[in-house]
Amino acid sequence: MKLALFCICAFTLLTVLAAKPLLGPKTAVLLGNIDERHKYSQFFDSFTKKGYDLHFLRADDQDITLKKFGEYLYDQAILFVGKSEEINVVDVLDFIDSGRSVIVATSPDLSDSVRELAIGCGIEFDEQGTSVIDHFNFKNGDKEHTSIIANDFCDIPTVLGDFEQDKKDILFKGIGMEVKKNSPLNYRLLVAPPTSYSYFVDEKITETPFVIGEGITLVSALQTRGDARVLFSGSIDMFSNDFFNTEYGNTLFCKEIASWAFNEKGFLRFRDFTHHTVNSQVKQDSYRIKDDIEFSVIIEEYDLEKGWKPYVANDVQIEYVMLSPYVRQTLANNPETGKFSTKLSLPDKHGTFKFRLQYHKRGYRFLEKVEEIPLKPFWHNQYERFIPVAYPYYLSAILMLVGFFIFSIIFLYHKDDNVEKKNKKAPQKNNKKNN
Amino acid sequence: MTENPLKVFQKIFSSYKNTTTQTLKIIDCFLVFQFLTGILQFAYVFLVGKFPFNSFLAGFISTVGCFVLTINLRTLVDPENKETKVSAKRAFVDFLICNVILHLAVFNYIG
Repeated sequence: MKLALFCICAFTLLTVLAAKPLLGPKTAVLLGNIDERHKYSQFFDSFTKKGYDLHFLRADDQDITLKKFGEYLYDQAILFVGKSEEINVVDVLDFIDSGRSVIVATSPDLSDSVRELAIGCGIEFDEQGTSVIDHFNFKNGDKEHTSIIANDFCDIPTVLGDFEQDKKDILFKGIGMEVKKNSPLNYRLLVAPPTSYSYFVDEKITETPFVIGEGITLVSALQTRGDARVLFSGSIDMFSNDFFNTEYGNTLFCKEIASWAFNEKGFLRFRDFTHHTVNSQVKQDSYRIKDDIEFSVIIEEYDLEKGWKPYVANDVQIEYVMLSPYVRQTLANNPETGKFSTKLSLPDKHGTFKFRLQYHKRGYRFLEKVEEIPLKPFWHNQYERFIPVAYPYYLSAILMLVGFFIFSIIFLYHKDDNVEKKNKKAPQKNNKKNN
Repeated sequence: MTENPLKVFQKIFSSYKNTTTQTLKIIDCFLVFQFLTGILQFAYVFLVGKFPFNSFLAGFISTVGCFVLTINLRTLVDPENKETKVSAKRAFVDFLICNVILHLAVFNYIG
């Protein structure tokens, strides 16, 4: 009995230790009121189980910094700042620029500093005091119609994870935001129903609301070029135990998008970016035109339990570019080793080319690598010696020469009978005249 | 116009046979051969295109150049030519040297 208990403890400890957050376990959780953390216990416990080390801090505290003496004290952060708490915007933006992920949730009472942080990430929240209101899709019993039911999700399977198979409506109560539709780095994860609008509760509408209908984004994400992921939610209540314990899909949705935000899914890296001519295995730093080469790269994806595992996909492409791509090919994937490889035929033009791997798949970390490999023209003795098309010309020149030889022999050694006959005739005529 | 064109041609041929010496006839054969080769090459480049243009030029120039040199020889060797007074030997040696230079150039350019 005691042995079994010991084994169970050891096993759970090992699983917790085996699961390793990518950047590190230290997570700063900024709350308006630290005593309220029990309200979100289910959400926070899901992180603790995965090996994160949560440090609960008071958002209003002026002494809180994410960075001390040039070193970052935390590897990721959760900000539940919805009660007019001011945050240090510069600090948080610097934290994001360093590649560290942040989950930000706010409410209609958001402060100007939170609005400023959102604008720094390409997102504009509505005015303080407004809520997302929907008179058609609200929770039963809600008199103000601010607890709305949304089910318009983004179509990025990596971000939604397990929620993709098990989609349910989400209960949301908070403030709306506007995200530019064609932004390549911002993803609109949850969009409000078309019948909703964002305005002050209990006020008569005298002007057009800031955002209405499907223009309202409820939950959005930013993937920065420095590989940080920032999640913005207009509702802190969405993450609360009260909302998790309903029949809506808040539990799975919040857990899945939070795990994506903390690099547990879709975080790629590549290594062994090599190329060589088909016959030799040596990597050269320049090739000749019309060469055949083999290119390969190994791409791996981070998994929380297994660490770096091979990435499986069929849409990674390599380009050979000089101002514009001359060659662009999809790489064939080996699922066991994660090796992407293909055979390329280099173009007929010499110049300064570069191999370019540009993989920008939504929900995945952006992969970019450029390697400059020039292409040299043929040496003068690498051309074809005899061109088959030109054989008639070779033949005619040879025939001319041969004909010239034969002609000159005939010309020199033939006997000209006509001339002799003429010579014979002429003297006879002369003789006749003389006679 | 009273005469049949065919009869005109026949008359030209028979007078040619009678009046030209055998030397000139041999030269004329060679000329015809060069001309035909040149025409064939030109037709070939029309059909196939100008890809190894230097080869085409070399082949064509070999025929045209030989044609010109052979005409030169014929003019100087013709017994009815009374203006230029060059011996047959001198004419032939000129022909020989010029052909050597021509073929040298042709084989270098033909690539």
